[in-house]
Amino acid sequence: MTPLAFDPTDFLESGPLVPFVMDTKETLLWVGPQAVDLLGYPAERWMDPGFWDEIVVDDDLGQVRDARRGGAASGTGVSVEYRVRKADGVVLWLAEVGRVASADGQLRIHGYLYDVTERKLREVALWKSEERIRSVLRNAPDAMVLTGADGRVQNMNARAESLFQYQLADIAGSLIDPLVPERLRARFRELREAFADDSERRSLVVGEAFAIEQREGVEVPVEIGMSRVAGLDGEDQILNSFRDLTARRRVEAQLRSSERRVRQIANVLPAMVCFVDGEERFRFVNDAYAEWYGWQRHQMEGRRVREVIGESAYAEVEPAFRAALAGTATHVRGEVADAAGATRSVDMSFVPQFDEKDAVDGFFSVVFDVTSEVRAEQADRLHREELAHVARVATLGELAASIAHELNQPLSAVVANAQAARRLLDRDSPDIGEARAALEDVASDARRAGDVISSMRQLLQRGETRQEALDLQRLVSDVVELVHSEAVLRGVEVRVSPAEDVATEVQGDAAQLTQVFLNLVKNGIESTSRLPTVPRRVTVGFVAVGGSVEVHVTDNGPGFGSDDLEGLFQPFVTGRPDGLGMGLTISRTITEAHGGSVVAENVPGGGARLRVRLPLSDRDRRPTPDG
Amino acid sequence: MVGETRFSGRVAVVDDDASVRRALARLFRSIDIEVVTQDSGPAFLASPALHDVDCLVLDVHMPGMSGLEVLDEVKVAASKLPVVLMTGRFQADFAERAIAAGASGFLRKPFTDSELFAAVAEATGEQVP
Repeated sequence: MTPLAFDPTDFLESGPLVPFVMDTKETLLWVGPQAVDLLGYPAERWMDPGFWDEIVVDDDLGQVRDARRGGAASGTGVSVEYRVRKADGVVLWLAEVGRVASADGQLRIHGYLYDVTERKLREVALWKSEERIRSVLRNAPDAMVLTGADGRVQNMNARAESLFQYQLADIAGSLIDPLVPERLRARFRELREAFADDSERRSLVVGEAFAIEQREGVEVPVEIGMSRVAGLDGEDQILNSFRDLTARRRVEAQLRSSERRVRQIANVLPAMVCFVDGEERFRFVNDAYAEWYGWQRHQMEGRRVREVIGESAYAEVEPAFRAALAGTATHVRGEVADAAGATRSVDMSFVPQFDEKDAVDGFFSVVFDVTSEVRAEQADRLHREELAHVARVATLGELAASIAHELNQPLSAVVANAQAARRLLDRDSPDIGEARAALEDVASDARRAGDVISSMRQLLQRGETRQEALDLQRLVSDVVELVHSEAVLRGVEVRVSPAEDVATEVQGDAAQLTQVFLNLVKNGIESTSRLPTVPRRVTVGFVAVGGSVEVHVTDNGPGFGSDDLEGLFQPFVTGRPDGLGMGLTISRTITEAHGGSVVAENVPGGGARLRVRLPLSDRDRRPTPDG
Repeated sequence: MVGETRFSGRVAVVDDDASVRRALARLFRSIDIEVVTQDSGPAFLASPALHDVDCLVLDVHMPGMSGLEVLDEVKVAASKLPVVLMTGRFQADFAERAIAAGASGFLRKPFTDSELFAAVAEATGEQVP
């Protein structure tokens, strides 16, 4: 038998295990020579009583000490792993295994040290990776299912358990695919396998609508994501996330339904409604708005306003846009062209919209088409002017006789005087004095005729309502002058009470207001002329009422027979057999167009009174006791 | 019918307008015809002139009593007195109404001296001037 070619000493001094003997105070009594190579410290350093304090990483020192002393005291031996710092500063992991032995009545630890750095690092990395996955799984807001690259379930989080209604134990090791409904399963598998094969790809969010199937068979809409987790053994794991869209769908549905409601409301409004954001893009338009420009609603939304409405329209509204985006609401009346190119009158309001930080994030624009109103207003104005004109003509018709008379009287005198003058001068002994008197009368009668004509011209003028400063007292005096001959003819005295302390300056149209007072004074004359007895009288007076002046036209006639004094202002209501019944209607129309009013009343003791109230010119307004 | 004789009588002018009265009076005097004037019908009817003039030139439109009313009174009180009516108003049937009322002539204001004299001549049957 050949002796074994094995030297145990050689093995102890050169193997990967470093033998040592240590006392219970952790001081080494002996250590294998390979220890010098292991850590780079000379042999004598190993024997220092404070050696371990110097080389063991601080965090691990307590653990090492407990293991050795505890193991020695209990006799169970030592088994511990710890980090030490080599002479060159590199940290490595050592495993220490020892057993307690007794020699010379002293306890000793006999054991081995060996380098476990490589294994330890691998373990830590693995632990860290798993810890990370666990943390992701735990903290993720979504349901997470961890699978291998083969699609078999390895782990899942609590959310996944509650979403799918499976416990991990139910499905661990099974394919993940049955978690999606059968109709989607092939597609899911396709996606999953493509992702697993494409190792360059770290993560994926599946854009298409997916669903999962719960244990009970109920489908839940989800958004699916996948991320790659690199495994230590080279095999990737895949973290599948399932975001439950039920809540989001509900919110979206609510939003859609509230938006639908807003749209419905906006669409039934007889207005164009839009919301324009800070970049001047339409964010919302109602049907009316889209129709106006001849676009589809969805084509308009998202587009710049300028692009939709055109440069010239944009130029018109740009100042209002700027103001709205600066936080100021504005209202504009303007004219714009519609899709057919027709000009429309619109009232536009621009109302800024503030976000929660009070910054403007856009503005609402509400546009009303007021074309028909504007046309009606124009027609109304035209109608009023027409009416006033008709009234003037009618009045002229009624007055025609007296007008002709008024004019023909001075003309007759002029002609007669002129011809008398010629004859007086043609005589054999010319009567120069009488001829001169005749010519002087010619001049004065010609002036009188001219005055009549200029009063008539005012009445005949037809035009838009003018705004000029007028003294009512003077205007009324002119009217009285105009009806003088008629008043005389009918034996009626027309008197104007001077407005001594009353302001009578108003803004208005002289021809129209002359019309008003002509109507009223003529009415008075006609009413009183039916009186059998004298005196027949019409009085015009002025009364201050706040910022207005009231002109009272009072007669001592029979008064208004009817109690329905308002009815008097209806067209074709008249107390006269030959009247049209338009006078008071027209008077009121004109007065109201001047911001005033007309009321009729009976005077106690007999007679009628019409009170015309007109606002004073600004400079004549002054506080009065009742104003 | 205007005869050969030249009118040498007196004329009354009744008109409420003073200018007209004065001018017409001056015109008649310029051809040496004597004139009296009154400013209203009642005043004329009450005056001695009613029976002392040979022609009345009467305005129709006067306050109180109109020229036509005066004409009626004249027809009663001095049926032979020729009356020439004057009007300053436009009235299409004025001529018919004037003649129907018994007027001997009519004038629309304004009128020329020859129209006036012709009307007086026609009314009196004598030449003016």
